[in-house]
Amino acid sequence: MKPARLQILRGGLQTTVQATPRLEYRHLGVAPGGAADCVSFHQANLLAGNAEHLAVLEMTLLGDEIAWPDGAVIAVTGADMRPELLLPDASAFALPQGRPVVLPCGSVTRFGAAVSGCRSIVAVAGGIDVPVVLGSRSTLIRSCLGGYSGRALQAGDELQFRLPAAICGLSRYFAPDWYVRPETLPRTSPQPLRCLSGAAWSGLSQGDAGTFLSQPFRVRTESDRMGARLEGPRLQLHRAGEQTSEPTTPGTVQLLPDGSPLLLLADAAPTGGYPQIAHVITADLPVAAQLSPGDSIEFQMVQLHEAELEIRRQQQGQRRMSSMIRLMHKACSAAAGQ
Amino acid sequence: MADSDLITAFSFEAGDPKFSCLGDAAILLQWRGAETAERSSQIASAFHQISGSRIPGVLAAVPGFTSLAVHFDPLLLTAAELADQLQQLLQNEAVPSQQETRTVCIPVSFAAADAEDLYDVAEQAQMSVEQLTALFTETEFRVRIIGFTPGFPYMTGLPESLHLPRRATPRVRVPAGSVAIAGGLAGIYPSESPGGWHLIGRTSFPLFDPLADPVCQLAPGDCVRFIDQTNVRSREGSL
Repeated sequence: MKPARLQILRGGLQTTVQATPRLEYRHLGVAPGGAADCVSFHQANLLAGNAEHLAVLEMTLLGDEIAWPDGAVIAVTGADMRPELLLPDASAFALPQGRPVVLPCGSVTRFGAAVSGCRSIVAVAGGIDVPVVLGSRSTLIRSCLGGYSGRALQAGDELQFRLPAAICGLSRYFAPDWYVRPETLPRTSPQPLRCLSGAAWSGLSQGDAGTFLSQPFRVRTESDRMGARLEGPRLQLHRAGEQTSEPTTPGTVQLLPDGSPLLLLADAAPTGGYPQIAHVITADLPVAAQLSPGDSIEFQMVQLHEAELEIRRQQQGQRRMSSMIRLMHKACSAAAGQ
Repeated sequence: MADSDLITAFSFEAGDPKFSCLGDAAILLQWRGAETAERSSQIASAFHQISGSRIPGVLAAVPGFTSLAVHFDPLLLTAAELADQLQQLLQNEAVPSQQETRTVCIPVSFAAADAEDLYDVAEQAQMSVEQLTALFTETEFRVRIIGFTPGFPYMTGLPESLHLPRRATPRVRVPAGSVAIAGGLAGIYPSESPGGWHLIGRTSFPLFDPLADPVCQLAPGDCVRFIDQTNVRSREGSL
């Protein structure tokens, strides 16, 4: 392992260091956080040759321009920001996504605006090296906690990572011709988000319940890692419950006082006072994390056993994919050794 | 209504607490009974029992005002399996916890510069500032939950004469250490954040420090007394 660095030449809209969520501090008001789209997060790491939980960069809607003075092996998954690669010899071309890419010393990567999805993950072989705070390297912007100084990256920031010895001093660009098909990664899909009923569900009139499950909602621009603000038909509770602060979870759909739903994401506070009408199932949270402002979504109510089945099915798919990726890595290094 | 079969999941409606699903990766325990002090201690005791139990697959227990969430890894166990285990665990509760209630004293400055809304609140409550601060420091508060931001204590016990609705327009920036009230609650902003509560004082008491042990100085169930240190502060320059 050799310390290496990356430099942010131009900051994106909101790029943060993300890794695993903080699971054990929710009773102290600490949002779980972590990579919003955990499927893209795990896949990017595996593609870069890492264990699946190392710290990565998560870009939102508009990516960064990054210099790699010491070279790196990176993998990009999630939203498609049409990244470009500029090599030291001044040649430039589209940076391949969904596969490991060897960047020679002095390369520059340039990410643009997302043409699909909302969040791009850039994993770096060796993992981004920031301090562990409360058990995680993830950035919690609202609380100025973790990641790189608790904030989004800006031009001039320099981050460290540990370049694996095997790939030090690479002077040649390389990307294998195999890749993970983008269709297998979660992204905005026309399918409805599946959900379970929440405590306030029965407080909706039959008409409003039907509206919630049949009408599309649009994602508003005021959305962030805490939650996606939705607009569409206004819903009303005929039984207003006690407005006390009660536990929530990523995926919880709250009904705001103006009748619009708020879909909580990774950085949502662990408790909240708005009525909870539904909870998006765990298997669909990576899709929810890729919703961009303007996207249209629908909700579909499912039974608990379907949610349980779906998360296991997703896990099996990921296991198959990670063994495939490991096999391909092995084949690559075997070929390189010959 | 057709949604009866949409109210998914299992729930043990009959028991106390009642079990229901908070999505597919958490179970919500809700206690009956309006008597808030009793319910609060039931929640606190279940919180300690569950966090101490180390049930494999349980990730976190999070208290709310009337409920407790138990977050779990849906790949390691199902909601029904966890509900069974939790029921058994809570039945063993026979031994009442001997935990003594802690009282934490928090110094507070009511100096004008530290208490942006103090005069407004006094006016609305139809009392003098001196009466207000005396009433506030005589009160014994109880921490119900920590939430909103890391380390923010929601405390009950606020005298009824000080119950006010939240500010019509929330502040974009509330300074760290602000002691605030809203509705029937008192709270302290551990770090600068937006907020809609009335600011009546300021403390330098460290509420949340991710590098300290424990990271959070207050816990649900703690009693809190505010100590008026306005004059100490103005004499020494800082608290």
